Amino acid sequence: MPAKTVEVIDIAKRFGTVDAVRPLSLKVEAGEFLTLLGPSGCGKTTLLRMIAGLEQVSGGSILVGGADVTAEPPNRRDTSIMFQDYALFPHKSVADNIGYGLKMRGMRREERAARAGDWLERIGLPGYGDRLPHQLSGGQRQRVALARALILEPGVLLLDEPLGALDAGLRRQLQGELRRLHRDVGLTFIAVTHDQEEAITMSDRIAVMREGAIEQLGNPEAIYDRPRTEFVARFIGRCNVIEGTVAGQEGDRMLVDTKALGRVLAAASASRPTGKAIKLAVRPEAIEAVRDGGVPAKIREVVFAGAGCRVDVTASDGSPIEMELDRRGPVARTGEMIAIAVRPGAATILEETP
Amino acid sequence: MPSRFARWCLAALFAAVVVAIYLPIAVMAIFSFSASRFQTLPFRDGTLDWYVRVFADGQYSEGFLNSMAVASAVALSATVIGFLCAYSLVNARFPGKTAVTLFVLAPLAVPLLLVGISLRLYFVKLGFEPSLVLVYLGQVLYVLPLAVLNLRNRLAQIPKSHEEAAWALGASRMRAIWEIVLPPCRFALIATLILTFTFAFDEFVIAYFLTNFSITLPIKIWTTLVTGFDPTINALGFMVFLFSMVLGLVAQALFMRKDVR
Repeated sequence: MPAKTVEVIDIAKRFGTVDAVRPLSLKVEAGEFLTLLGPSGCGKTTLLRMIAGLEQVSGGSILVGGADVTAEPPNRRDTSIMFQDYALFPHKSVADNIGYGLKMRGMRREERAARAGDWLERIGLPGYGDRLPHQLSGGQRQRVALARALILEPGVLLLDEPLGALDAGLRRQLQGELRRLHRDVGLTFIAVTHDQEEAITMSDRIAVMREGAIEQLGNPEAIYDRPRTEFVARFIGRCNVIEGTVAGQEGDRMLVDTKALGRVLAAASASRPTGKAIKLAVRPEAIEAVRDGGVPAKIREVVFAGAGCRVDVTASDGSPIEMELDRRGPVARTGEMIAIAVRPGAATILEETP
Repeated sequence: MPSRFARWCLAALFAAVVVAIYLPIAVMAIFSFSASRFQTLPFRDGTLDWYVRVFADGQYSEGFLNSMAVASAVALSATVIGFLCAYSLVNARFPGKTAVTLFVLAPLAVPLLLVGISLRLYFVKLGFEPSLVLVYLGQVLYVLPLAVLNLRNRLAQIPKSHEEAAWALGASRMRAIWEIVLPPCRFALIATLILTFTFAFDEFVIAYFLTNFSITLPIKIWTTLVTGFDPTINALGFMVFLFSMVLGLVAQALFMRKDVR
């Protein structure tokens, strides 16, 4: 099954007077694992359902493998979809569930059973064919749903909250399994999730969505290290957003004066004039306790977090700052004064959003 | 925890309701086996004579057969139409859906007398002779809301994603309904058939207004009662009671039965 590209061009969806998806374009490469990430109501599921053909587009077009499938029904666009609740047919056996798509294609019963058997083996559930879905665990059901979608050998697999119905421990384990499956089958995967950690660990690229539009598109490192907007910075991981003024330029980085963290050397997507008021995204791990220089801050709370400590401090201007200290350094105690500084280049200037 | 007294009162109230409902039926049942023409105590000789007479009377069997035929047709039609109706109410997105739902369910709230009179006037105006066919049409209208309500509740429990998964795997809309939506509804469908059947079987007012020569069983019972008491009524009434009761209990059991999820 060769992987296919997916291209959406100026696609939009209106429900009544509500813009669920504003005109947006996106190209997913063949074999790529792309995740649509965003809070509920951001349009990510609607976008996925339009690609699957379960939702009509209000405008724009969808290309799968270069062919325009905008008007095609779900089963004629070389995509398969796995639902959040898996949508296994409760009255059909596991084998009949897996083989349902083949039945619709008119394949004979014995051949269907053989193919379903192969897939049961492949997903580690040999001999489970005669059971009913409700006799399986959540993780097993998920694998059956994957097999049912993949048996049709699609070029693209669409996953709606693939791990959403599972508990936390299993989720982490299955993040790795999905990733491995993606490598094994070599297909294009497009997943939807509201869980930023899931998106970061599984995907090749992430499209962060907000109010029906793509806020930022990039690989997980870029999204984490260089958030484009305050929304992305706050939605992914923990982040301090600090106000400051541009003080000058140094190479392709900008010098920014802040009240809370002093002078910071920050990355910027574009040059900005001196004196301009901006906002900075500073990750907790980008702030260090220093012996020389730095600005004073008072430790408000120290939270032990395994490998390191999460330390909440109050900056000299009174604003709360979150930082991370590793345990090799001096022990931090509540109420103490320390000097802090941002590692050069670790902060990012945020773009203004309307 | 309610006090002892309160619990005792509740138990007494419940007992009183049960007695009020079942005592007349019990009296009827007892006297259906009494050899005397008159309903007097003490109860002397037992007999099955009245039951034999019920079966011997051609008008009773005619009424029974008519009722069976009409009620079966009503149940089948109402369940099929009710399913289609419920399916679109659950799945379709269209403006004024709430209004349509209320409109479909409204006949439940209209007095049967009005339904009977208006249907009669309407059909006669259209030039139809009163007949069992009209009874059938009127009763479908009457039991349809029950069918829609029952089936809508069941359909609403089936996740939309099941049907969508079937479409995505290549099933047509009809095939997805047939293979994915219907099987989990089978108990609800059978229960709806039984429920609408019993309602149509017992129905008197619409049948009375919409037929003239061909009569149903409730009409036969009524005319017998009007022309003077006859103990065969006891025997017949008790049989009808048992028949409806069994059907009702089966329907209830099916509604409560959990389909495989």
